[in-house]
Amino acid sequence: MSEITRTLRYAPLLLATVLVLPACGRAAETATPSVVGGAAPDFTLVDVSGETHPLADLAGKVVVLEWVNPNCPFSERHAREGTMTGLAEQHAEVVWLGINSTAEGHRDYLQPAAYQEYLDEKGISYPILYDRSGEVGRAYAAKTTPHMIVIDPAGKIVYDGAIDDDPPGRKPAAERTNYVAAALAAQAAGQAVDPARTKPYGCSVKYE
Amino acid sequence: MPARRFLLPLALALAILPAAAHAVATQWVQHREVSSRLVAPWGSEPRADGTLLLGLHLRLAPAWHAYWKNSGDAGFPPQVEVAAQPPVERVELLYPAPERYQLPGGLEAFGYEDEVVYPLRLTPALGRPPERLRLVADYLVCAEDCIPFRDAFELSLPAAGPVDPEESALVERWLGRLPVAAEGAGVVARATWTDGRLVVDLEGATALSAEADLFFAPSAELVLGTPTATPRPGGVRFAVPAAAARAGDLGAPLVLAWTATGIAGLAAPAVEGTVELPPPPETLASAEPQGPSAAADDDDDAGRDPAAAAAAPAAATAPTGARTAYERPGVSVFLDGLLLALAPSLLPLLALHLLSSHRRQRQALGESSLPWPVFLGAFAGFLAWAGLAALLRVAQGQPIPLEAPWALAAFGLPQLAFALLLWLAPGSALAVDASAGRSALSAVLAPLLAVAWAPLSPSAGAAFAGVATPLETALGAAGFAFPFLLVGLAAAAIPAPLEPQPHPRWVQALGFLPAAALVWLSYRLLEVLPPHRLAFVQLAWLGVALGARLTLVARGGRRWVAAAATAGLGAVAVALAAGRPW
Repeated sequence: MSEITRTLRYAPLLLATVLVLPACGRAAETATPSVVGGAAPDFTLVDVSGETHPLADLAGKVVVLEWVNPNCPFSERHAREGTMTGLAEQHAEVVWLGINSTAEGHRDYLQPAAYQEYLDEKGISYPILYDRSGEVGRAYAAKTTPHMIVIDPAGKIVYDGAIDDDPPGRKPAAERTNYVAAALAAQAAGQAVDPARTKPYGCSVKYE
Repeated sequence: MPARRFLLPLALALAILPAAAHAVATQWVQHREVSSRLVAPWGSEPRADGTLLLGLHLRLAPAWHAYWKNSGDAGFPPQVEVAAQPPVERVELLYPAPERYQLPGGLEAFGYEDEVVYPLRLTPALGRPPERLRLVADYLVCAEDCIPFRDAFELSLPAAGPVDPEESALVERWLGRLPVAAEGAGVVARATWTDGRLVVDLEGATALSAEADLFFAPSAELVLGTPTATPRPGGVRFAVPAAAARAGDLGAPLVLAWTATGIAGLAAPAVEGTVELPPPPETLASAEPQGPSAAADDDDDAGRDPAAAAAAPAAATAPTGARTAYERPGVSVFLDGLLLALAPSLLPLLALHLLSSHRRQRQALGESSLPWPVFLGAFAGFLAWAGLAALLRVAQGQPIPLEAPWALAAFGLPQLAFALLLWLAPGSALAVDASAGRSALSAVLAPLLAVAWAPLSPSAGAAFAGVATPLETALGAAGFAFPFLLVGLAAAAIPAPLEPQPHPRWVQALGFLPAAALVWLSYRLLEVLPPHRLAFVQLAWLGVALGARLTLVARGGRRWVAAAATAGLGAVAVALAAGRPW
């Protein structure tokens, strides 16, 4: 058998081997992303302390979802300034959930113990849910940290977008428009949320 | 004699004073990831339209990017606050044509890498140009992390004086990258819906360059994906995946602001306009995961005026960027080079030099010979490749994009070649130090293996991108060559006996490291390419491997055929990676 033939015998094996890697890559997303006015995609996620949180159990309540990443300067700034914790205190009837869609292998990923330490330091008492696979983040088309979603009692998304109108955080707090606060106020007054959709700012969500 | 003593300082003072009185730029504000400054080449002298023109100049470290007016899926565009005396009534921050960057997770960013000058147009109040101004810029730069910065600048604007040619040319170059208005350029945009996709036809764009792209302003109604461009007679067609951003009637008419880049045949490299969309189909298809967030931008920050970028000068040359984006201590630069020489792909080369250098010295009856050929070869090789990168950077006007898909695919080829050499011809690999010339040659080629690891070494990355200063390049080269020198000295210091001829299996095992580098390059390519396109790049690499093997065993004319096929497949791998995502 010639050297050439001997070499070519290995080609199919190498071909099969090399095609494995792309197959391990991210699958093309086929699900319809969520839309304002549409139903909020259902999910069940586990928080930092290990407790399970099914969205379906929150039917009939206003729910605020906040995509977070402690290593993102924007997310950290809002945590430090208490943007959402302050609002949560004003709206005790609203359910606040933080969602961290950082992939487990990413350097921004925090183990539960370290995350709980961070939450205690920032005074954040509402649950922070792990979305390691990024499935929920992609279902809500969450792109940044922070990225805010407000869900009405009927399970519809009524706001999707930025946390406020001040990405660099240079305005005095009183001069900022907090879109989530505006959405909650409109909800409480039975009015349409306007704006219902803004462009979120911040770091990109660290998906797989 | 005493009078003569003061001549030189006096001459220096006279040379410096005019420059100080007519300072056209602030000092650089240095950060690790980016440096910034404010440039005012024309001082307070108004342009023909009565406005003043300055530039917010950013130089970014490799792999970091700043943002366009629509930042894409993440980030935010820069914002400026200006306080001037006398005051100005309007401040416009202008945005040169952007580029699209793929982020992990299927997200995208729109902006600039390496360097950008945001032209800044000030309209004086009451017709009196400002003599002094203070500007605060809030901006964000991202690589894998994001870091916001707030830099403040103060500048006195001279009323008259010589225009600094270098600085004015810099600002003019970036002005030339501002999109021109479609109307003035004779470009007409028409939109239709086809199979759930938004199709935008630009008529009047006479040719299509390989890098044509289409960007949109954020939309409250639509989620828009990554466009694909197709040349058509008399124009360009962009097909854009689209989905509704909200349920129910989207309202009509929908008007989208767009910016097209890479359109050949126009005075500027980009054109912008608006297009009215016909009513969307009742059920829009799901958007693909890539694409900008489409939401109404409620920000009304000073300095952003998307409609103000219409009247751009005709100059269309890209900026050159003569210096590094940041400065680091010399020791850090040296260590960066040293770190690069210890990258996984180069460890086998160092090991081979150690073994064969030791054998050669023992064969020379213990006479030691300093490994100058290896050291000089590595040093010269680093300088040569960095010099070539600098020449290419000057020729094409922008740094070498080490993170571009085509570059990553090309970097895989030397890794593949080295792995094959170790696996298929271990004896030849072991003879790397057989002669001074051969050892020097192997060291000269060592940077080809190192360039894939440049992101781990900021200074080396800058050198291979063609933006490092000569001193930084020399220091990096010295650090890179240092391990080769140490290896040669160590070889002389190792007491006999070592195996004069290590078993080939040990040499073949070293081939694992450059092969692992290929896997790592594949991982990086996976972040910027769809999986199916990466598969074809890897198939091309595989073809190169098979072709190289056949070249080794073929004889006569078949050898040349095999070699040509091997080279062709290597080019295919690079071309596949260089194309637009499917």
